[in-house]
Amino acid sequence: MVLTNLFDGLVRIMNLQSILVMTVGVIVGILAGAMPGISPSMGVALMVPFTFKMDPSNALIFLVAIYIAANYGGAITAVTINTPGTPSAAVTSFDGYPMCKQGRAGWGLGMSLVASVVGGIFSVIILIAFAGPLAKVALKFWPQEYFSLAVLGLSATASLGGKDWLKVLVSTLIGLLLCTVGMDPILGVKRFNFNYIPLYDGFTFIPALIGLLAISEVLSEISEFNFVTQNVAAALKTSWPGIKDYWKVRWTMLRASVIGTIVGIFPGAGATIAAFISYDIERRISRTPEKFGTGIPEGVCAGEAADSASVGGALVPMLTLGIPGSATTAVLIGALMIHDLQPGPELFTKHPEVVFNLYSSMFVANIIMLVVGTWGSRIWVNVTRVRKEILFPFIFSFALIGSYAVRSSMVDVAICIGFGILGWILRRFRIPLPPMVLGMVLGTMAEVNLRRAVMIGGTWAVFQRPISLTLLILSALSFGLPIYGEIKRRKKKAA
Amino acid sequence: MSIAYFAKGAGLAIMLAAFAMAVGLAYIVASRTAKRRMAGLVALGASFISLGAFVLVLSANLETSVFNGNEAAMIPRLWAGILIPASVLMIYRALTGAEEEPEPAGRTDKVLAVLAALTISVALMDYLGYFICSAAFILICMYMLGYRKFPVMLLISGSWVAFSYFVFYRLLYVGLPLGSIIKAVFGI
Repeated sequence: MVLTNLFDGLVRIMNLQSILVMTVGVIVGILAGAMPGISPSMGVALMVPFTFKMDPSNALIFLVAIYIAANYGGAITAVTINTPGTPSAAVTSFDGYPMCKQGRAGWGLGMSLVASVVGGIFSVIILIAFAGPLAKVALKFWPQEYFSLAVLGLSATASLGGKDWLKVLVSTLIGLLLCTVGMDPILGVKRFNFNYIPLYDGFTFIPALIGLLAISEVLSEISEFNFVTQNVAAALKTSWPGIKDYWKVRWTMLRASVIGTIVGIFPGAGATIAAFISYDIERRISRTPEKFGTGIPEGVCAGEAADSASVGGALVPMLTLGIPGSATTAVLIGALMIHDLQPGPELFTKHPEVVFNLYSSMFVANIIMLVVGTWGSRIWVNVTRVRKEILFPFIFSFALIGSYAVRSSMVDVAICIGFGILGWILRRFRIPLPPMVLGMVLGTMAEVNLRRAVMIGGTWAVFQRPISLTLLILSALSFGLPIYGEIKRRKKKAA
Repeated sequence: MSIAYFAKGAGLAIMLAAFAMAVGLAYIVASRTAKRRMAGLVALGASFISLGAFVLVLSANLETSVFNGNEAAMIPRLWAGILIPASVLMIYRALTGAEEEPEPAGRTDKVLAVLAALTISVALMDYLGYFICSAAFILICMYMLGYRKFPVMLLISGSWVAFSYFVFYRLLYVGLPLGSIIKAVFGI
């Protein structure tokens, strides 16, 4: 029955108009994702007015194509200039940018594209097959479980920073503390903002992220100021991965797709957390964990496949229950309502053709993304051939305009520069920055849910529910085992 | 004198000055020991301790009421309470040789010069507008980094201005600042 409906949907969208709509959606999505400051949700929201005259099915196809492609688009600037276009692409930059520095930008771009497509297609399959039951599981999660999920995500930092667990811990805590600036999310109390209105919402995440990753990297490279040899290295012809290379990382892509889809289903979790958790798990099970962060395909695929798979995951609660799992799905719900469509169980009974058109279009949009992305990567890779004396001022300008675009605020530009300087100082003292980013990603989720859990069940609430307790035990093991292993190794060395 | 005194006004200034002195002192003391190369890391650790203490002091003065066992200060206190001992341990490890030495400082002068140009261009954006300031910054930054082909420099900065105008200002409706002086001169 499902397959028949799916096939019918495929037949319905295989016309010039729908394919054109998807192609334009994919191109717009890639460009929106690649521009720091333009998030996938913003990209979708900006394009909603263009759908007013479309029929509801094409409108939904168009907006979801943007959503899918925007999640991949963020990887382009993450790989080429270490400026993640979307927060979730920060994970892609951990290995993608080192690849680019080694003259293998083609590998970074190719791997991120294929991983995105694999993750995207996988999540659609899951969406079609298990949408109903998965949505019910997600609804059983209470704040206790969400807090424990956030803690599990935070425990990923143990592997992000390698052997230096103390610096990792300090970096994570600073990220978490920075998250507490601004209005208290439960009681609305002003915290640490000194009545300065632009800080009422705390530090804006995108400018902080751009500053920490992109600006600090450029400042570090300027301090090494040896552009003659670096430019020669960059001018080398880049290489591209082949089918065999993609086949070698098939399990990584598959695992990341599973994780991305599952995490994407939980409202509020989202692509960034999915990418971090996937990267962490891949590193832990790898035979060469020390190579993560140095530019390996597994690192790029782990983050990118999970990132894209979270799209299908986020659509599960949206389509089946009418609950937005992410900011973008919230915009999508709004767009659906404009077209007189109410997401939720009724959508499946009253407008099944819209749902199955959407499912089919997600497969096709991923294929179109593969084609457009392959063609586009040949253009994007030329960024790496630009001389650093020219590229660096561009990165600064791009970072500043991206930061400004978030809220049209010069304060965000200042935040970007401030975090850039902070990141540059921390890099010099070998304090890893990814844990701080993760702390900033998960800080609010951890705080809101811990406090809700305390309100519901008292101080020890998070230990009283079995799923929550299991997740916390897993987190403790996840953070503790690498430290224990490191201490044991050192003792052995000393002996 | 209660702890609330240090949360605003003169008390806050005194506390910040005390923290700055503590960080400076940590650097000076560490740089006179055999582990002088770790002085920067020790100062950084001291600044993290100060940050933790700063958060603890400020959170003692939050306008808050306890609701069902939680308050606005709960989470900041929790993170600061872990950060302080972790930073103390980091300083200890730095002084006992368990931490890696920092990376060489390199061309800090170049970094500071670029940062100064960046800061000045951002500060002038409200007056001269985004387009003039960003074009000037790109030119100056390329020059500072050693690029000397002036026609190419002009072409690049002009291209960026055109790109940012059409893509961000016209297409994406990002309200880039036009600058009060430019607005007054051209009557915009």
